[in-house]
Amino acid sequence: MRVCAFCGQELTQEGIEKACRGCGAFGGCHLIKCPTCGYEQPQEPRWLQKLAAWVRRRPPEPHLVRREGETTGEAEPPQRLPLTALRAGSTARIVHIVQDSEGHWRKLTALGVVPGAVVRLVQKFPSYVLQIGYSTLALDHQLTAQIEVEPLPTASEP
Amino acid sequence: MSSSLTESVPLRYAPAIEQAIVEIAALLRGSYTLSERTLALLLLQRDPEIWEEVRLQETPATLERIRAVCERLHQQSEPPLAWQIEQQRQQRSQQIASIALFQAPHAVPKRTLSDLIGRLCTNPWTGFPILAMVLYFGLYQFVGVFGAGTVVDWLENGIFGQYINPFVERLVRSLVPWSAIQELLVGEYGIWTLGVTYAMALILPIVTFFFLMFALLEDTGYLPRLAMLIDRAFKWLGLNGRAVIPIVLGFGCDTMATVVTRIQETRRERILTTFLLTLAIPCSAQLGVVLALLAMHPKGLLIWAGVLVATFLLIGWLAARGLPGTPTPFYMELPPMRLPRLSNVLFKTLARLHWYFLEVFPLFLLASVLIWIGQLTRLFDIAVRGLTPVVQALGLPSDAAVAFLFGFFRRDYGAAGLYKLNEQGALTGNQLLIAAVVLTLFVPCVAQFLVTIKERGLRAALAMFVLALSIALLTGWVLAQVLGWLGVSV
Repeated sequence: MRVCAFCGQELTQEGIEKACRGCGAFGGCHLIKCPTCGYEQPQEPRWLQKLAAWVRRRPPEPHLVRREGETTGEAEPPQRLPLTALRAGSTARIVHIVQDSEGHWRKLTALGVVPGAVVRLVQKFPSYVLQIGYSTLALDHQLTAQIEVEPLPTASEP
Repeated sequence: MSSSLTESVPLRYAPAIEQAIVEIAALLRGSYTLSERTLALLLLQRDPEIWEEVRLQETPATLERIRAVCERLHQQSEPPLAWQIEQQRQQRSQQIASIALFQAPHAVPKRTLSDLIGRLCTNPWTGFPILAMVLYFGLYQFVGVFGAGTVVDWLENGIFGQYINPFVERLVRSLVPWSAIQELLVGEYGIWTLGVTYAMALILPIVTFFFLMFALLEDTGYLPRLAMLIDRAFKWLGLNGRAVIPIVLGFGCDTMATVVTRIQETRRERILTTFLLTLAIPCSAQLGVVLALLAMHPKGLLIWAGVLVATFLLIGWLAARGLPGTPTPFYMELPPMRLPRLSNVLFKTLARLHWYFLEVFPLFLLASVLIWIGQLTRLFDIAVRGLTPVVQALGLPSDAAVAFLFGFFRRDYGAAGLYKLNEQGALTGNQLLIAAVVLTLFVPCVAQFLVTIKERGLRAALAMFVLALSIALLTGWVLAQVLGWLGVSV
């Protein structure tokens, strides 16, 4: 959560956009304006956000992270990625298993790889290693790519 | 478990599916071992076995109506029916699990030593060195050097060579007057002197040590990790990580490894693995003799290993491209690493030995009889004469032809024959190296060949036999030429 450094008001993406609309500049100023008091403060660079997120082991605040080709402001639809796109160590919720004609998806289902399950990607090389519940699975690229997930914020280590 | 769970309502699927089940169940008239509901579900999922069973018992009109119900449901179903059924089963099982199981609220799984070892075995940086260590100490030192070397030497030359065999030989020679029968029983390749001695004094200790090691590895949970590490490399050969189990077993005994290819999913993979076992994986008996043979020539040993690995990869790669079909994906559960229980390991080893003996022991006896017939009818002399020009083309003395021929009956006997030739000083280092390479790649032993026929069919077995023979001779010839050009002598 971000707050205004001057008045302490909570900053939301809508609020910032509204405040910025009245400004003559076309952007590129790296400043964000508080809608309540009008104070302009510099936006944290992305690397700093990442570093801060890493240090705090908390998810980077989604409304301040802009991804390429993505509009801000709207409630983001959950991202759907193949599990292979994730980094080793990340956690995700399975949303879908791609059904191939040869029925490989049945093997995945039998191993407990089902929509709704939370999976942790332990490693990616030389094979993919997945942790689901109390079991650990080794899969190759082909099968792992059939698992579609929605990334979850990495849980903080105790 | 509480009775409320077991007595609760059975799993119900989506209304459309349930209706189709009822319709099909009402149509079935035959007598089956499964309930009508189960049958209907399996029919809906297009289970080929059940369809066959129903086809035999129902009238064509009924079959047509069942087929119509199935078609209707399949056309309506989106996502596919099998997927829906699977989903509903999963939901139900999770529901049951959530009632029956509970997790202590703040129980954070502890990081145990087992986790750490498991992680070290799967991490590529530490996993491959560990793999090398397991192969070196477990397979080479324990099975190869100690089992196939020390123990075999003590049993074969000590117990059997000095005490049992002379006694049996004297007994048979004093009781049986015909020299042909004497030869069959206690001759150089007799049922007792070759078959029984070989099985008891050579194969038994080697496979015992191998099975012991294998059971230990199996019970620690290391093998799935090994499969997972090697999967990427094996994909290149048209196989997946699962093939690592028969391949590793092949270093113990290729015959047994051929049987173990049953764990693979498709016929294509089984054929590929069987062929690689036939061609490029030396069994422990052979490995032992070849190592002894080339021990004086370390450079030769290195070239031998290099040629073998190169052939394994090249031929595997080519075969994967030549055979129709696609590799199957790799999946395996990684169980936690555990300390094996000695009693389990021993029982497993004994059970396997028992089974192994029942399967393979008669084949050794058969090999003895075949050799006896071959010698009696002079078929062998003809075969040796046929092999002699081939052997000479490889730059080897003509006596090596005998060694090659016997290599078929005892994979290591061929190498042992070379050992004798070497002791007589008849072979140079280069000749020894070429002979060792050709013998290792050469046709399978008679036991392995028979098992291959049993498992893969006569046609596939014969094709492998001929291919292995040609590849072995070709590789030997190329190696001889290359060594000649480069002026290398080992």
